[in-house]
Amino acid sequence: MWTAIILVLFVCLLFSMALASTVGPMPMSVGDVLGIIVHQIPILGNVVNGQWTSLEESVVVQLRLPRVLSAVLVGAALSIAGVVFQGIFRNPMADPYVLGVASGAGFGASLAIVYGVGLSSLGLFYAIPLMACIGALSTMFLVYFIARTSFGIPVLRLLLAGIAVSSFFSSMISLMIATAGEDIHAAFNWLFGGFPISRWEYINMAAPVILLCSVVIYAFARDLNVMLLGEDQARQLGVEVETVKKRLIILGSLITAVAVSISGIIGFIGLIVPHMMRILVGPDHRILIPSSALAGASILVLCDAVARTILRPILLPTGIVTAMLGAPFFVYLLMKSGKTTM
Amino acid sequence: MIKAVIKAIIIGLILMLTIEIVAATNASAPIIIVDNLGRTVTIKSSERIVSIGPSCTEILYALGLGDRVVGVDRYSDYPPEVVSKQYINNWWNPDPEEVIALNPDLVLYSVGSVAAVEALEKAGLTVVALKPATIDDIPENIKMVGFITGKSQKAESLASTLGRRIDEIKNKTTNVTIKPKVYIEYWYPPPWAFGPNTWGHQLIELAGGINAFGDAATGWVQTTDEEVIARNPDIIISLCGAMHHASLEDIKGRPGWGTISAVAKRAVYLIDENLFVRPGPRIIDGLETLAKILHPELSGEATTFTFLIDTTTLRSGIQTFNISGLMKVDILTIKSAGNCTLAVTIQELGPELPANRKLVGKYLDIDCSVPTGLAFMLRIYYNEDQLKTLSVSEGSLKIYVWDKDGQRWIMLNSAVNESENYVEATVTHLSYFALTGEPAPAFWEQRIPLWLFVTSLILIITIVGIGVYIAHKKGKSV
Repeated sequence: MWTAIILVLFVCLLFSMALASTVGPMPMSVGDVLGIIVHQIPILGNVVNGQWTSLEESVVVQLRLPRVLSAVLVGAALSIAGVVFQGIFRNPMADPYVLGVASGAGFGASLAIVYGVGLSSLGLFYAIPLMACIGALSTMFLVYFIARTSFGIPVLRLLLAGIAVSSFFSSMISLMIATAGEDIHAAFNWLFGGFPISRWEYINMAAPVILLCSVVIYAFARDLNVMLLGEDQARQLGVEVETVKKRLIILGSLITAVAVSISGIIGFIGLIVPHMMRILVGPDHRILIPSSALAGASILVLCDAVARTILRPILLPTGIVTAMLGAPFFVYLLMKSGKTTM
Repeated sequence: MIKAVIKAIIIGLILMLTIEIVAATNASAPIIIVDNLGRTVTIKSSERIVSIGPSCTEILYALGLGDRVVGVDRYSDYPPEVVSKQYINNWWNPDPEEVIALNPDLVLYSVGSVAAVEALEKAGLTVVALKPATIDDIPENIKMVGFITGKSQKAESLASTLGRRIDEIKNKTTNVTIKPKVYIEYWYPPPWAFGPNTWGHQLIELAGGINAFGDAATGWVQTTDEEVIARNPDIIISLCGAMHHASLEDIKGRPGWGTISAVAKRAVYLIDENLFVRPGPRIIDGLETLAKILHPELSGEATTFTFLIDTTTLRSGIQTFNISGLMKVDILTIKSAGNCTLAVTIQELGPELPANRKLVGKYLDIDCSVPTGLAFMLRIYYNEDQLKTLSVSEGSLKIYVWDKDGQRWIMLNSAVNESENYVEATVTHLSYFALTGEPAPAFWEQRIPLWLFVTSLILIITIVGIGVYIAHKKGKSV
């Protein structure tokens, strides 16, 4: 059963990736695009030889593929982080940004944009994600140390510390936008979230961290299951609650920080996808984590395809589309499930 | 909107004529004008002026009113002495209190928001709003500002000079048939372009070009790399300012951009962004710069030479044409399908040569009215000094031709005549030509290999898959 679910979702992901890489302003046949993609894979690639031009190849390989893969990575990362935070907080409203990672990253990115005046476009290209990541991780540690007590990290303290630090950094972002000069659309842009800039360099930096963290998080799936019963219960059942919680908080924040640093702040995915998958596959984290990752990736890939094609030549921020398309779908799922279980 | 502005200008002019007489007789009488928003404003004096909007500041300074300016918005940075003035923080929504603190008797405001005009007025300030709709409104506005401030004479002469410069460009570009597609970039990444209803768009059209993003729904267009590549502009204007500057090298390094016609021909120009966004006197500088880039042939620097190929004389021998001046080229026709005109254009810019080749002299763009069935011998002359400065060896000289379909340079079978200093090659296809030589071998740049990433991705997916499988099994056994 689980294998079937994963398989179906994986096929969905492949399908949406293929679909997303065939749409764009350059008119290209589906066959050519897929041919170019397959052609990039060693060994297997030699089988395919098409009629495409070098321009078409560079558009697909240098522009569309990185964009699609960024969406896959970010979608998967945010969904996994959502599952983790909802699991440890046992709170349906928890999302990857609950510990203030988003506003921390936003603060870092705004710093890079506003004070990186001397940098060229290329400098900003590296400075923004780097500063976003630093901002996100420092916020996470700040929240963590504020919430820490001598006997562990109570969930409520963590949540409150997250809210406090998050609103502080949000106000810092607003302050910077208010006092900065006219060239702030880059900052605004970044805060909306999306993939206006996606390059292989970003993926090469982000992919290893996201994949590694995901695997490690998956190893905690059973602990998360036990913790659904409540921390005391879990402790009685032999789970080292504080250790598990600490590690998961760090892993979840790390994965979010990396995702945010390449995509900006994309809402909805991390909050809704875990709920959606819980309705569809049940609350067992061993299936919930991989299925959320695959579903989140597919949804974000499709939303991004919509964002860059619907109002051509204008590129919409992907975060707007995720909320606009995702929220009604979630309401539908909620109402449907209301008739049976929830 | 435009109607209202025109109406405002007409009323303004009539009032100007009538009031000028009054002003002449009584200097302290209040001046009444109708500003660009159609508001009737009574101005008692203009000794302390606050200028909100860089274009207002530039107009005031152009009229020699710098001494009367007591405050500017923080974006005003031209002329450079403006920075010593008191500044107010916001241009779009200026705080009336900040303005009142400077105790002005006149506020000149480049709109901006209409609500802000009302707010300033409610605060008891005398506000004149400037909102030119087209470039022709700018000289009119200068006249209006001159009239208000008692500098009518200076304003008239400045306005008529600007008007003449605008008309000159218009006259030159109205009849152009080939309009290059222009992409003005004011931010990257991601690419931001000027859509319709922007000054950039208007300037492109006036300069005899087509805005590559003229069809967008918004004024400022945030777009994607692929969109620019697909639109394939002939010319890229990269606006540079404090926050953004991209050279040809930067642009070439962007994925997929190398094939854009403008980048391949190296028709990428860096221009000060303030010449394109501020409806002040300097926007006409921007227009002239743009016109020169878009249509160099209109500014009197002819670089095209035409020749008539006559098939009757062709049979009896070889025809030689000689281009002197910029560069010496001989064309020896061998074969022609019929009488035709051959056009040779000498160009500064051309598609980028292979990394190991250096250009000797200039690019040639050769075209013919009957391009098929034509064959000729192309001789390009060089001199020893040229080679020395480029450190190119004489033996390595070759003529290259641009393959338009394959988007690459192809080496022609060329022979070097070292005693007479020319290189010759037989040409059957018309395109760009370049005489090139080989300098010291260039350094190779390495790319991050895609296969490495894809294989590691597959590997990790496999590991995760195995993990899922094992966990699944364990889950069953429990």
